[in-house]
Amino acid sequence: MSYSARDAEFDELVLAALPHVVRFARSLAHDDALADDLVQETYLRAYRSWGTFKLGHDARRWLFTICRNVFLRQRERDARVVDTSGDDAELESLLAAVEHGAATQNGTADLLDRIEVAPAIRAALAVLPEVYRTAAILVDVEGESYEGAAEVLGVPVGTVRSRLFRARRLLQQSLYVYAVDAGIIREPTTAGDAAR
Amino acid sequence: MTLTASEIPSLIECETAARALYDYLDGRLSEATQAAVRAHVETCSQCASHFTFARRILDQLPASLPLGGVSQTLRERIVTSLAAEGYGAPVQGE
Repeated sequence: MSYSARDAEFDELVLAALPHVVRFARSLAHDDALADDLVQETYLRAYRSWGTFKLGHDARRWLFTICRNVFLRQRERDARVVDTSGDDAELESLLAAVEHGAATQNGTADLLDRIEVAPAIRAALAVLPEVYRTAAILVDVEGESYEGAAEVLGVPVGTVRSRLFRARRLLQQSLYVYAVDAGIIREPTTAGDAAR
Repeated sequence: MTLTASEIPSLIECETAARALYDYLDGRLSEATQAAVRAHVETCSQCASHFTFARRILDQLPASLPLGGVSQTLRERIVTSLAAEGYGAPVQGE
């Protein structure tokens, strides 16, 4: 293959995904300058290993994988050691419902109509532990399937599911805290008080 | 025996529905379970409240992190670093 054809394919499949990679990198790094470094390194590594990419596969997913691996290595904090595979995903769903019951007693029924949701969600995502945040970004923001996210993260689908459900529950909790801090609702009672 | 729609809700408790919340919202339950949870939520105001709340959060997540523009500076940095690896080099023989 000539270089120009190689570069044309790279342009079409990889450079075209740049906005998504930038968003993903920013969700990981929380700092635009660090995210830009991360994106640059991601593209450099992608170009170097472009010969190993199999056409027909999902280039964006491949870039997310590289980006996250670079991030973890740069941070010298391999979040993959956080093993949540034994987590109970259904329990996370149940706890989310119980906590909602508690918060409802404190005036949260129209919570989402009373706060600026986008900044609240951004703030909540920012403080999630990396393993949960990444699962939520991949599935709930980037629209990846559980299977696609599992491929990016290098974990079983069940682990993606449990991390995703915990992320969503923590996100919900953060929105309540955000609303309490803003004086929109009262401090929720304990989850146990609201258990049905 | 085939259950009618009105009989299904009685088979699902709030706890069961709540445990299925996110699988339900993601459409990952079996057709029968999905229908049973839906039937319960339609008849239980507490569960309906939370399912709606959770659905709205999920719906608003993508919009909370919109795809931003990529700065020209970043594009140039990337292209420059790739050029050092041969990106954009003339095709041999031309």
